[in-house]
Amino acid sequence: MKRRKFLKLAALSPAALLALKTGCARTKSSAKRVIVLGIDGLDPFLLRSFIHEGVMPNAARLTGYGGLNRLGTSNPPQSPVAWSNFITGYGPNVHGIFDFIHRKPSTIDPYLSTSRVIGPGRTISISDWRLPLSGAKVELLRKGEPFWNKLTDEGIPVKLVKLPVDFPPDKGKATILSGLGTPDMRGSQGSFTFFTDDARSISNSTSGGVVVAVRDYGDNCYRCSIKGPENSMRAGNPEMEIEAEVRVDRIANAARIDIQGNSYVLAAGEWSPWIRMRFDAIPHISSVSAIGRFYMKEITPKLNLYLSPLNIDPLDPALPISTPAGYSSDLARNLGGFYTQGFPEDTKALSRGILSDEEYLQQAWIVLQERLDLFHHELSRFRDGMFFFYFSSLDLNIHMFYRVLDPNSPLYATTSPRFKGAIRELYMKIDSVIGQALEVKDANTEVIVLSDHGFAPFNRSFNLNTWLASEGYSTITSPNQRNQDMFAAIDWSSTAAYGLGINSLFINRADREDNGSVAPEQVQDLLIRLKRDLESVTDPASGRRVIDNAYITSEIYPGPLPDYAPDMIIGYARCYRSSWETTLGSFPEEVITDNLDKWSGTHCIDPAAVPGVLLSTASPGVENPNLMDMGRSIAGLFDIPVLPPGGRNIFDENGS
Amino acid sequence: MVLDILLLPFRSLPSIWGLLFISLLTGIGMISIFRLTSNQEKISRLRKKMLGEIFGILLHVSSPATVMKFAGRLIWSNTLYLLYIIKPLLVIAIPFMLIWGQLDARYGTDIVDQNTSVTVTVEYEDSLPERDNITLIGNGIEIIQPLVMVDTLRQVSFRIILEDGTIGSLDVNGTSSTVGKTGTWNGALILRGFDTENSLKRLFCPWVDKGVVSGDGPISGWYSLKTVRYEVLGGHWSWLAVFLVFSSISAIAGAKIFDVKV
Repeated sequence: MKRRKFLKLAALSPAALLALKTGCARTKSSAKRVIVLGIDGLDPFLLRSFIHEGVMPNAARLTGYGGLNRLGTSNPPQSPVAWSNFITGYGPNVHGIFDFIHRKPSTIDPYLSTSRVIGPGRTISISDWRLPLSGAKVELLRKGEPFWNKLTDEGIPVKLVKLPVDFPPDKGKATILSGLGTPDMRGSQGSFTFFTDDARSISNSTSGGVVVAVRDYGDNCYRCSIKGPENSMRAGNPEMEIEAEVRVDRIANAARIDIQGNSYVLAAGEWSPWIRMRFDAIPHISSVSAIGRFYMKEITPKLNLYLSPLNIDPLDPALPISTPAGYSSDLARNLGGFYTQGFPEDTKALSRGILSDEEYLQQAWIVLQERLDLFHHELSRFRDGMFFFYFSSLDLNIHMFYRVLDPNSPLYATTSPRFKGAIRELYMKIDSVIGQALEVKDANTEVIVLSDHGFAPFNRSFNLNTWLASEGYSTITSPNQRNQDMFAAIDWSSTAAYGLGINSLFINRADREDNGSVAPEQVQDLLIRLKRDLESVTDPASGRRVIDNAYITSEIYPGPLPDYAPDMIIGYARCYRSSWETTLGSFPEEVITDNLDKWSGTHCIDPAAVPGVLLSTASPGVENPNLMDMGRSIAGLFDIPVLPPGGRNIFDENGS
Repeated sequence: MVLDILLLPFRSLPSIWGLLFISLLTGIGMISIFRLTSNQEKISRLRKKMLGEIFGILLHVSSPATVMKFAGRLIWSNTLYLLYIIKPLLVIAIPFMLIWGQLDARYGTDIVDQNTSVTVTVEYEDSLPERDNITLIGNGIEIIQPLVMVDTLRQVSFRIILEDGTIGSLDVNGTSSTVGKTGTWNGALILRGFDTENSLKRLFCPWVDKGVVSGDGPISGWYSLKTVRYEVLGGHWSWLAVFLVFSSISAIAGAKIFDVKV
């Protein structure tokens, strides 16, 4: 009897554990279904033009239900801000995200606005080892309550795939896979590695990635050191490293990459599959997993080997990227590896000339295909509740290829017109996604397609800090350091204002900045003067206004603001944007220059110039719908007693 | 063969079930072998004696001489204990290693899907043949060019795709071997390479196929397969971790239930 009982228990215990793991339990079901497609950067003007061309029949079908509506975006119209508006139903004064970049008010050190890693509190030191007594944690900096909490509170299933500005994901009852804002394994927004023995490619620049010089010592073998995340268990946090051996066969124009016991053959021009790599923090005891893809750009005569940013392995994530924690591995087991970083398209590698236009597009299609596979997989499993799916491809690819759409782009003449077709093709792919969502629509299903902003050309760069210096709002004391980041050239004691981030301008306040020079009582007058001066800046090349509106933050967002909030938000005119140099506090010679970066489209301008899109099977009943209304409106499609507080219900004629 | 029969009910279930079953069974099996091959009476007596010696130390902590006396006895008892368990451990070691190899071959790696290629590397005994003289013939396998020749290591690498996603055969310059999975079910053997030498190695490493030589072909080869991890209790475990943990749990439970003195 005893033995029988034991055998029974032995057989059932793991079964019960696994059953719990695989989610046999069902949540309360709702008959209503809402599919929300979040298409970053879907532009109303381009969309209308492609619908008229007849290449987006499904979008045209959807406009037949509720029209093609412009959707008011955030101010500033940057994706982290806009998606935070969508999630919380409120503006930056509530969710706290004002720009891609924030700064510590006292020291002006910049940091990513959406999340931060907090290292382990206490450690024990043994030689140069550091053993943590408490774990490191990642903190989501977006505040405010997500609108879907009102749905999950009522037992309505909610799934959000590649949700922006939600890394680490909210710990509620919704199923979430983090999207925009998820870093790579090195903590950046995407840092490639490029191995080369071509001296022309080697530079000290670290923007977007690193170029590593390698050498063949006559045995046709290159030893490539791949740097992983920092090792917080060693003194000084050195980067963990693994080695890959690349054995080239120049006659075959192919190579074998040997890495951690596995081999991969790649011919020139080929991409590898996802390769899993383990980095040892403490050998045999603690390690982290990462995934990366190689691209064999060239073998003969020189080796040029690109390695994608090391992504968090969805099968064994080193940082939390999904709720519940096992959701990402569930997807990876079904679909294989996929990009987990928030900005999967490697725009920096294109900007730096590491990848050509053609190669970049190949990579972008890989990303889109992965995303489509993920979408099909999840759509086929969707039964009831709300299903949100986010696509980044339009946004990042139009950033890079707006130069083929606008004849006024300084790069228009040097870019092959065939890439114009690539944008049309991308829109057509998105149309096929809309078609699939409409295919599963029944009487109880609503389909909503929305974007966070539209697009505009970025032909001219405005060096905000240079302008401030030229107008006497700041003083440059070290002209030879003008091009260095983080205000190396500036004299803080005679600086009244400075620009940092894409749309942000700050007053150098004596009561906030360590080296502040403006007394609190002078701030308002200074802001009014700055607003007047900025709104009258014209481009000497064309005579056009550069800035449509300079918004005083406290006027558009009344109430208490956090001390990291900008004092002014610059709403650039169409074709203009702050320069890359402005975003990190340097002072190029000229105030306005041609934008020669392949990043040729932008939305970080005046919000009125770049509205988003709203297509829906439910008709909006109010004028001027806004992103902030969407959470309440989506929740309002379900039969729940309490709607989220932010925004209006646009599907209700009263907007309530 | 025995494992194939034992795993019969688990063929259509996810691999973890078969692995758990064999792990639990192994724990029970090992403890049963231990019981049969050890002198339970002697072990029982020795354990009681050791317990007495531990109590002796605890009761006489204020008398260093007595503590030393009991500690000396305890060390001797431990030595005797090790001698008592050597025989059963040696008897257990062989089936344990056989099972280890079998489980590693069945649950350690997985073949990739039909659309993804696997890199094959073959090694020649002396020098590499001329590129044009390398002949590759696949049966149920699509061979993807180019060949990467690594002269310094006498190796040639290339990619293959298993056409039906399970099994095929490969012939390189007359050396033929099987690639893939020996069955379509979960828990079937997955081959990771071949060796043309006759050796006992294959008994303990069943993932190595016996390559058949009929020419100047390579002497060995291996395939780059993906390692499998299993999601158990919120963690990602290797097959070995699953095996060690669950076989230990069942061995401990078995010892308790069957009153085995370990």
